[in-house]
Amino acid sequence: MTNGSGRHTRRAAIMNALGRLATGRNILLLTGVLLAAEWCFTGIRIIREDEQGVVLRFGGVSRVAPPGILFTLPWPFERTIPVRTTEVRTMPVGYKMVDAIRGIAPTTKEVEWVSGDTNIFDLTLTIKYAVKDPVKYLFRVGRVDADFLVRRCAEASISGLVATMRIDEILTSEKVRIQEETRLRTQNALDANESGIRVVAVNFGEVIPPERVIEAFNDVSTARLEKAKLINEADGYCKDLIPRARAQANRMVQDAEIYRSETINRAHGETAQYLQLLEEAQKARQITEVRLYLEAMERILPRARKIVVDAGEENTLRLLE
Amino acid sequence: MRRTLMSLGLVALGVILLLACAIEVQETEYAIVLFFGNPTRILEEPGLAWKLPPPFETVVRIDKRLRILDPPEAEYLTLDKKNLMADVFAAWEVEDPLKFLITVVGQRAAEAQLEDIMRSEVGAALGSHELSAMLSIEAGEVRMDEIMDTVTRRADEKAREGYGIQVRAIRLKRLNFPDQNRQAVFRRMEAERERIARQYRSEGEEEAEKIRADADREQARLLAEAERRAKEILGEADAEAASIYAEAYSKDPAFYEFLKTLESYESFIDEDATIVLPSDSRLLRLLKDTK
Repeated sequence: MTNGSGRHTRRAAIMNALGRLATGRNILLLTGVLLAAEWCFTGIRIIREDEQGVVLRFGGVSRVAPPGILFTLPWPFERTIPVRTTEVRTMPVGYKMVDAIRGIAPTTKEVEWVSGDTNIFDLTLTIKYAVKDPVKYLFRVGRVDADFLVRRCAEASISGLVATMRIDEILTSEKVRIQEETRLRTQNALDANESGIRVVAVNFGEVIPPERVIEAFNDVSTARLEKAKLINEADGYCKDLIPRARAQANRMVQDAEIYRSETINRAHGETAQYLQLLEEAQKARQITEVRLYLEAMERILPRARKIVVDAGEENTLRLLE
Repeated sequence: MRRTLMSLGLVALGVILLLACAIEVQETEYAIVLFFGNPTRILEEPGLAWKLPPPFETVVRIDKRLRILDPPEAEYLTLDKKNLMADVFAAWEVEDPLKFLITVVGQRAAEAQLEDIMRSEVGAALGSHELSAMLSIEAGEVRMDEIMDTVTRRADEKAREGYGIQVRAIRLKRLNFPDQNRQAVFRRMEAERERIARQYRSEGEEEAEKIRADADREQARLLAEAERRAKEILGEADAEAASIYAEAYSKDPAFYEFLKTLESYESFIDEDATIVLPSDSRLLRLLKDTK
């Protein structure tokens, strides 16, 4: 016997046996078994990594299943609803996502808020949130309402916050605090309503004055800059003037010092010359005086007109005696 | 074969009967069992329950989830006659399913009733407070939460009594001014900004002027001080020089006088001077002697 013919005969035997089994009753039975197996398989499903499975028995929550393979009783006894719990969802406030995508500006009704000092300003924000408690998220609040509750709670929080604040604070210094406070208050409101939602982040977009008055606000910024500029210029003037004045003052004192040293040196010089002369004169008084006198006359007389008169005449002007 | 069919038929009938008698109460609902149209039992817990098959007993399901009623904003008048647009929303749920079933027909009707209650309560609350209770920068003046809590409580009482509805919260979502007032608000905002801008500008000028004046004063002080110091130095110098001269010249006053006289001749006798010299003068003595 070859292998080929052996296989052939075995196959024929199997076909023969199957043919004998394939009676009407047996086919019915087989279909029944297959259907039963299929029915049992409705109780098996995979819960993905980013999901949790809420298992309902006759409509009531029986358990929450973690990711992985999940065995439950088959339908209609148990049913599973998967909820994506790790997914972070986005809810816009102050504008609509659809409009933003299409580039349509939000309406004043959507974007405007009123501050404590009854000024109107525009504010948009986005809220990032995730499902914290899948059971509450699914069953506590109406399905569509649950997501929009996030927006409404955030809006109420912001309205409450800004109702006590000045517009200047809102537009500048307090913006970050409002953002953080909004997150806390929104979370509290959501928890109070048992929404099963966790606020991940509140991100403020633009916080600006309305278009109608934005020029006036810009002018305030300009004025603030101008003020700084004026003060800067004055500072510059001051920084230029004072060192100059100091230099000038220093110069005046230095000039005086120079004068002092010159004057005193000159005094010393002149007196030294005089004392030398005096010393000489004290040695031979008569001679020195005559010499000095004649030298002086030599210097003086050549430049003046001179009249020589005889000594005998009356009224002689004895000028040089 | 007939017996098999018979048994199959019986099983099918049993299943149908079973299904007609079973109630699957969902997590999100109350089920009310009606016996010939009269409510007999309320099933509050989710899960499987049993009843008689129709037409004896039927089931009405009522959503028990929290729902949000968010009607369009409306205009209200405050105590101090200020027009205000308030946008409020309510979170509500069915508290008494039976009363709810009897008094209202479906969610739409319930929301219409609730909206009426809410509007009248909000109107009453805003109408009995001044605007400053909603919007103010004075510490402690804003009582928005308190006011809305009162609105919630009173609306809840009415809705509970009338329709078996529990109002969990009515909250103010947004406040704004009506269109005809918004223009006035914008004008006021502009005027206020102009005032602030003017203030910045004049403050800038004021401070700059002050800095300049301070600088000028400092400059004057520096120069005046320096001048005083210079004068002191000059004075000291002159005094010291004078004392040097005095010390030297006082040693022999006669000789000094002699020298100084000669010097003064040199300075005041110039080309215009005419000197009359007597022939017997000290200078010309020799001249005369030779004659």
